[in-house]
Amino acid sequence: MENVKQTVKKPHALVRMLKYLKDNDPAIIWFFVVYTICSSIHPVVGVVFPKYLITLLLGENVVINSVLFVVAIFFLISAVTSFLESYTFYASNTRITYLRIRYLFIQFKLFLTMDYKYVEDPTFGNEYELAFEACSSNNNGIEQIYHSMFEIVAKILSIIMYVVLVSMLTPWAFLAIFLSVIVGYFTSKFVERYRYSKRMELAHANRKTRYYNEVTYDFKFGKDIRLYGLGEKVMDCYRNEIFNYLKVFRRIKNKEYGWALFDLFFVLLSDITVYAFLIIKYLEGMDLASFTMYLGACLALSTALKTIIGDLTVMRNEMRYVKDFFRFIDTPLVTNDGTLPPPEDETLEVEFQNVSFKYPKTEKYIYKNLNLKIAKGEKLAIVGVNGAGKTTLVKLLTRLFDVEEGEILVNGVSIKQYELFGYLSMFSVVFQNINIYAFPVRQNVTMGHDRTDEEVWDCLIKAGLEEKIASLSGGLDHMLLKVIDENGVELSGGENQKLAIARALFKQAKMIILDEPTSALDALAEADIYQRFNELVSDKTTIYVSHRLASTKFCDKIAFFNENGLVEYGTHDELMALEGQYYNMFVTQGKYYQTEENDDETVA
Amino acid sequence: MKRLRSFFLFIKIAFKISPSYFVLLILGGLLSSGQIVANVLLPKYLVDELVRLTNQKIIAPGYAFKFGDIFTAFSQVFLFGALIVLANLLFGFLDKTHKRLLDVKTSYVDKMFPGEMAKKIMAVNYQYLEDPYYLDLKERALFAQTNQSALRNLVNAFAMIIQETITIIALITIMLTLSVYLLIALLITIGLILLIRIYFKNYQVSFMRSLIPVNRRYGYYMSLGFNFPYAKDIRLYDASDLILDHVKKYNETIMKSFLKNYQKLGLMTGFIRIINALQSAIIYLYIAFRTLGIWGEKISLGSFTMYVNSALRFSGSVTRFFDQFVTVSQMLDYLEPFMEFMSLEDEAEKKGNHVLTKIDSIRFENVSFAYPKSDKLVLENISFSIKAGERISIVGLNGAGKTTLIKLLCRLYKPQQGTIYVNDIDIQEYDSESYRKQITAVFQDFQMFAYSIEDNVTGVEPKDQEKLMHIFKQVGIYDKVMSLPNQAKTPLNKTYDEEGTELSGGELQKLAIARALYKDASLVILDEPTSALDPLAEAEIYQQFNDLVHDKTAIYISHRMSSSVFCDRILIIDGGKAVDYDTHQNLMQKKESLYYKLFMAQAKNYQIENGLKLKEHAV
Repeated sequence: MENVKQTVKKPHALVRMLKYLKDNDPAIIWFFVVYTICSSIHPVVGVVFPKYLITLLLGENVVINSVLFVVAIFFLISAVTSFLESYTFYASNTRITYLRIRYLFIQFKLFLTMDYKYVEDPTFGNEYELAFEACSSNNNGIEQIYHSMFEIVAKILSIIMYVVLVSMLTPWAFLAIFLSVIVGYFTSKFVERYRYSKRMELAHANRKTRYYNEVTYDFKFGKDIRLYGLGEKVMDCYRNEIFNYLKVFRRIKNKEYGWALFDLFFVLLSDITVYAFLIIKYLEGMDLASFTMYLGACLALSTALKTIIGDLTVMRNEMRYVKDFFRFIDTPLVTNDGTLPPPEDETLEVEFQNVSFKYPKTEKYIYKNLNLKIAKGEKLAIVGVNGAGKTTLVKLLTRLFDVEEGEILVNGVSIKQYELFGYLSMFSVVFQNINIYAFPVRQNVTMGHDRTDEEVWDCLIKAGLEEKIASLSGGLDHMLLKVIDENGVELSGGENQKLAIARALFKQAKMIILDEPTSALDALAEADIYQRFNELVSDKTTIYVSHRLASTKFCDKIAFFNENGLVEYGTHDELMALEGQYYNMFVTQGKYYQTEENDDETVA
Repeated sequence: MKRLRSFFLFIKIAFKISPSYFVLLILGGLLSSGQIVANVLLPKYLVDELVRLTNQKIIAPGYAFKFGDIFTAFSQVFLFGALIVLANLLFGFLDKTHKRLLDVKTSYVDKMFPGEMAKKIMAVNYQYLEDPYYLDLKERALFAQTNQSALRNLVNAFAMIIQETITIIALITIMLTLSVYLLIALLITIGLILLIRIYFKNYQVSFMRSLIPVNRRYGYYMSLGFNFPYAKDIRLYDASDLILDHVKKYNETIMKSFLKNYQKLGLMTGFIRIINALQSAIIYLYIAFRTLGIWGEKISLGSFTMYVNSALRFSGSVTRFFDQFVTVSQMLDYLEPFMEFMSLEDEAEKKGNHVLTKIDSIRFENVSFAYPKSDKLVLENISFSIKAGERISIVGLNGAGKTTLIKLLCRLYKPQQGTIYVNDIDIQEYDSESYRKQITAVFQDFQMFAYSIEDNVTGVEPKDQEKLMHIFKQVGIYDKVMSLPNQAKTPLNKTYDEEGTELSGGELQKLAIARALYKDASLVILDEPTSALDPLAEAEIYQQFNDLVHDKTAIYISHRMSSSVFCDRILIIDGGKAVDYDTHQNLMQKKESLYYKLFMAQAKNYQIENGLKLKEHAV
């Protein structure tokens, strides 16, 4: 099905946008019609009206009443058309914005659901850089295109009326004006092309200034900057990056300036043509009123042409964003090919078979031919040095990444054959960094899958957090964090950890994964948390990633990883007897804890 | 008043960034008003000449144009025509030139403003940086800059105001040669327009204000989707619907209120456009009557053109002027947090008579401390002393006040009560730079910059390659550094520089320790510097620590109790109070003490039968 999606040619982005508008808010079309009528008439009136007035003024017998009459008509027409023009313009504005917001929502949803590998892939961001910008503001991408489309027909109609007027004077004037505007269009295109060729440089320079912007604005840097006296240095670099940015920017502006001077020549040409013809026609008998009107029409035509060409250029530029946006939403980013439901069993058996893996777009293999089996109900500790790929194992098992070679089996079936969401529902994972959300306590536990309050409380009790939550004025409905609600509560590190346990308990998963869950806690809090883990784990299969060997020694099996992958595997006693790397690490870590305690034990 | 002060502050900062920017702005104003005057005046002469040609019957009926006549009978009229064309050319040229200069300058100013705030953030009293109020203030200031482009709009509006002011003066001068009444009539209608605008502006300000909290919430939920760390949770806990529901709800709320607001805006603008039409009508009517000799001295058709043009432009200019004025005051409102931040007190760079060259002793005497705006004493009556060369460990539960104590010692905060002495002199008395030089610290949340590795480590200290390499070896990151493409010159952080490298948390910690050691201060403070290191790396660092810190005084904070074993003395902090200060051996005798409990909680699982020794293994 996914493949079919790609082969079917999608209609042009503009057509898709119009269809989207029709499907979501057709009322905009009525605003558009009224706007177009008023907005095209209104400026032309301003050009034609003075002719009638001047004709009256030039006349032999002046009748004050007719002056009054002409002015009154002028007032009426321009008042009505300009009022409606403004009103329809603004009243439709939000509706158009809402169209963009709807598109943004589609994009946002994709962000939340696309395969995790894209999240960690930095090139993914580059590839869709334009797409992500397409819904970012009122005056670019999708919304800009809608606004431009809204206005452009009226502008075209006005131009047609001007062209008719000017051509009545002489087609040459029209041609001269047209030529100067067209030249202006092409030169601006050259400038734009140049700017585009420099866009990487510009983006690069911009990113560098932005980096300093972020660093300096981040209060977390405050201590280090002060203690190491880095303020001056950072500022110098910051300034330096700004100058680097300006260097590129200036080159673009120089190009623009050069072409602008070139344009001036053609503007001169069209000015000469217009004035020469006007004066000559006058000398040949045209009256002053027409002279004024034609002059006005020529000026208005050249302005209007410039505006519309500017608009078209903007549209063309913004279309790049829009096209990329559609490319983004058309790309199948969610892989969920599996069909099997989760197995009925209480808990799981996991097997890594010849698994090799390296992160996308990197060269270094994290594992080569990894083989590892976790029996049902077994507790496996994964320990080892930093960077040995302990967490990667978790990411593979939870299908955040796909294996390069080999297979991972759960209950004897390749994990890819399971339906993704059903599969994920089988795991409860507690990471080192607990993300607490600015939601009420309840939703921080349920993550949106609300069941009864008793169930939530039950999890909080088992996690040892019920006292704390009960003490909050809002109870389960009390907001966490202060982002959303000033009365929100910020929990301590240990409490956050407990909340994470409650969250994991609530999920009622078949298998538990604990990924360095206590490294930021003090010794007593840590000991407390370990008690709670027992609640969570009970007799389920468990993977426990840690580099505190004391806390993993009671696991059924221990897998020791280093840069070469899995090097030692067995129970704590087996590995200690092996006197290999695990032994070494355990002894090193425990060294300073030794003498006192042993003395103590002999006493006891 | 507040706004005015903000405005002057803005001018002051802008002027500091670039004085030439103001020159350019004023030149731009002169230029555009010159252009307008030329556009208004020159056609008058052309039209008058045209009328003269007709009235004096110089144009024969049925005349057919011959090229030679340009220089004879009609030289005057073509001259005026040529003048208009040339004026257009000249102003076109000046305008483009000015634009070229201004564009670059504006971009510079635009980028430098955040730079000024950056400078401020790095210079303010540290205590602001930990105060949630100022964190929020900064966020609001940042929001005004990035989401409302407040600074850019302010700068642009300011430029426009200068331009329009000069233009308006020129136009008034022209119109006064016709009549003061027309001017008054125009001013009345303009006043009407402004009243509507002011009314609407007030409405809009309160509208926008009501949206701030909604927007902040919306922004928060959106950020959940666009931020890395949440992505795992969202997938593993299937939380996308939860977030999407919130976003959808806020989308609808925001859009509903925007719809109302924009409908109002449409009505208001519509009414203003009606008044504009009325203005035009008044202008045409009055000037037409004057051309006919009614309501005053008769004027020529050329003057008709001139006055109509200037009057039409006048109302446009004045409205724009006020528009920009409103924009300026609106932006100043938006920038209120920015301005508030910019007026914060800087850290007093104390140029004291006491210069610290070496730390011989440190003494806390009855030190108590509560964070600003809080009544809760984080530290209560703490007294202890450290001799030069001692290794001190500070132990306590999470939130006991350990890090706070360090912050006081680093002069990031001042104690409320009591005094901290270094060499028997109150630390507040020391010259800031010399004091900073003698203390180095690695905090739990230490930060590294996207500089090269060596720049990160050396910072502002002079570069000494040998010393650098030595320290790399000591902290155990030498091999890693040498394996990088540009070795110590490799930048950190890939997003900043494609050549950059991303180090692991443990490696970064080693670098942070290297940085602290490189500084050669006489006091080294390590606040949980090894939490991200694996046990081997941690043990390595501990074992080498005595070498690493040399004869320096050292203070450690760690949750791994093993690290306190090799310290000379251990300070136990419980609930903000110093409850014990003794050696490890002595403390372990007190079986009821917090220290004993903490130690045993970790130690019990590490017990191995006596006699087991570390085997030599290549790791």
